[in-house]
Amino acid sequence: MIQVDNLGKKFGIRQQSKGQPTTEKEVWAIRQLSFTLPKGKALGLIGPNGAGKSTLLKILAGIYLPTCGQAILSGQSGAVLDIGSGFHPDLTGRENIKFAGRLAGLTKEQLEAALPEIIAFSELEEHLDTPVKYYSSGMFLRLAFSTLIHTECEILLFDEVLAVGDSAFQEKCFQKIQSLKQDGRTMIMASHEPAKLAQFCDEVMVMANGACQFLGPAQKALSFYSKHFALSSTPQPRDSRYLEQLTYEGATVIGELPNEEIAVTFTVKLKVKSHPLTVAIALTDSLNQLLFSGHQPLVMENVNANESMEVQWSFPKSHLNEGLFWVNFYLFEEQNIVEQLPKVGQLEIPPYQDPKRNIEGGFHAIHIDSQIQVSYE
Amino acid sequence: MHIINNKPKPFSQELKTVWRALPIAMVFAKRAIRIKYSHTALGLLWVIVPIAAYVVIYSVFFSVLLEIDTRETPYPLIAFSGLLGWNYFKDIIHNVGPSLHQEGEYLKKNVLPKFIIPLYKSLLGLVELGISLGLFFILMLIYREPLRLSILILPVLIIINQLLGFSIGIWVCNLSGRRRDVVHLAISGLNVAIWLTPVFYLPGLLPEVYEPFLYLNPMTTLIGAYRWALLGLSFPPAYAWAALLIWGVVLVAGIRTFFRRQYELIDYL
Repeated sequence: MIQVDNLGKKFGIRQQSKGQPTTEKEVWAIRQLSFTLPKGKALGLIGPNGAGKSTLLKILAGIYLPTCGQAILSGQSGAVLDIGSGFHPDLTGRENIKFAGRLAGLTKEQLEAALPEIIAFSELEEHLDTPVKYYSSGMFLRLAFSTLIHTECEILLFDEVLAVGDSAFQEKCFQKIQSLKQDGRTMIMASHEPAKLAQFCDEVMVMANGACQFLGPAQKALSFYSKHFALSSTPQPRDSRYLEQLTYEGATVIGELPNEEIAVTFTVKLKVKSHPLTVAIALTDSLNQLLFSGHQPLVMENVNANESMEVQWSFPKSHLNEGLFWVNFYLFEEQNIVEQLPKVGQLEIPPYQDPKRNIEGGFHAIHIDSQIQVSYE
Repeated sequence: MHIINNKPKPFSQELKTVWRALPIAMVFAKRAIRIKYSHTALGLLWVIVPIAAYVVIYSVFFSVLLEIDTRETPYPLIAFSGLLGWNYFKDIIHNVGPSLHQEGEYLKKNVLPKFIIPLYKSLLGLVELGISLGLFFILMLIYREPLRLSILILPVLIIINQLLGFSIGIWVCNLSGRRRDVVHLAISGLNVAIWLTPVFYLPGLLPEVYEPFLYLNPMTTLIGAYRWALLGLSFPPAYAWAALLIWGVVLVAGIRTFFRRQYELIDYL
C-alpha cells in the first residue's frame, strides 16, 4: 500500500550565464500530490518531460526528501530508475547480481538461494561472466529487473525502463508482473508509452508541471492524456509534392439509431493532378494503434490543382466503443504511401446506455456483434 | 510501515539504518578495491611502489644529505613508521571528502543509506596500510630491529587512525555541498600539515618549548604511538591523549551533521 498525502518537492536551480552573477530559481518539481494505491495494484505515471514523474519515484525510493507532505509505504521499496544504474561496468553480470541483490536487502544466504532463479529469468547464462560494459541496454534491463523482482521488496518502482526489453522479454515481464501483483506487491511505473501503461497498470496518473491532472482507471486516464497532451494543432503538410492544404472539418453523426453512421470530413487541396493518387483515412485508438481504414482512388481527370475538394469517410458508429479515437490521413501512389498526416483529427465516442457495451468500452475499442451461448444443463 | 516526510529522523534510528547496511559497505569496499587493481599487471604491487619511493627519497635527503639525528633507530624506519599512519590518514580524507560528488549520479539513481558512501570510501586505504605494514616488518628484519610486545596494540592504533581521518573527512564532505572549495582546501592543507606533523622527523628535532603545540595536532600523538609500538620510542605524553579526545567530539558532530544534511547535499549534486 502506498499513501501519498499533499506531497511537494522544491529544488533550488542555479542559473549560470557568462558575465552575470549566479542566480537561484526555485522550482516545484512536485506539488500537492495526494493519492492512495492499494496493495497489489500497479499505478502508471505519464506526462510530458519535466512533469515530476522521476522526482516522485525518487522520493518514494528514499533518494530525495520531500519539501512538504508525507508518503506512507507499507514495506521496503526497490527501484530500477535507470538502465544500468547500480551496476559497475567492470564487474561481471554475476558479480553485479550479487551486489545489487545485497543492496536491495537480501542476505548472503537468501542471495545464494535466489541466484539460480534470477539467472534463469534473465536468460543471460552465457554472458554471466562477461563484464557488463559489453552488455546491451536490453541485457541491462534483464539483469536489473530479474534481480529486483527476486528480492523481498514489497513496493517496486520503475522509471522508463521496461520499454527497452524486446517483445519476448516484455511479454515475460508482463506475466511476471501479473503474478507479483497477486503476491501483493505494489508497483509504480513511469513511461512515455501509453500502450505499455495500458498493458501493465490498473490505474494511471497523468502529471504535468508537478501536479496530478487526472487519476483513474488506465483507459480513461490515457484517453485524457491523449486528448490534452498528445494533441498538437492539426499537422499541416510540409514541403509536400502532392498536398497543398488539408483541413479536418470534424466528425458528425448521421442517420438514426440503430443505423447511426459517423461521417469524417476533410477539405483537401492537391498540388498536382498528373499522378494516380489514392486517398486513405484510418482510425487509431487512444494508444494510437491502427484499427481500420478506408481507401478511395481519385479520378484524376476531375481533380483541379489548388482547388478545394471535400472528402468524406463514413462507417457505422456502433462498431466503435466509447473512448477517444484519432483520425489519420494518407495519400497513396499505387502501393506506396507518399503522404502521411497522423493524428489530424480527434473523435470522441460517448458512453453507451447498454451495460454490456460499457464493460466492453473499458476493454477494447472495436465492437463486432457476437454472441456467447451458454447451455445450462 | 515506512513513513517519508521532511522531519529529521532521530540520530539513533539513522545509526541503526547504517548498522544494518554495514555488510553493504563491506561489499562496496571489496568491489572498489577489486576494480582499482583489476586492470593492472602488477595488481596490489602498485601499493608498494610510491611508498618505497618516498622512503628512499626522504632517507637520502634527511639521513644522508642533512644528517638528521635519530639516535639509535635507523632513519628509514623513522620515516616509514611516520608514513604508515600519515598515509592512511591522508587516504581517508582524500577518499571521503569528495565522495558524495564522485558518487552523485549513483546516489541519485540508487536506493541506499547515503552514509554508506563516505563510510566505505574510508575503508579503502586499509589495503595499502596492510601492505605497507608488511613491507615495514621486512624493513625491520633487514635492520635487525626486534619485535616488541607493544605491537599488540596496533589494531587499536589503526582504529584511532581510522576515526581521526574520518572525523575530518566527513566534515569536508559536509561542507562541500554547494561549493567544492573545501575539498581543495583540505588537499592543500594536508600538504602543509605533513610538515607540521613529525612524519619525516622526530618531535625532539624542534626546541622543547614547541613540543606541546606539536601535540595539539592529533596525528603527532598517533604517529608517536605507532613509533612506540613498532620501534620502542617514547610514549606520547598524557596531555597529548587528552587533546586527542577533542576529535571524538568533532567526529560525532560530523556524523550528526551528515545525517541532518544528507538530503540537502543530494539536492546540490
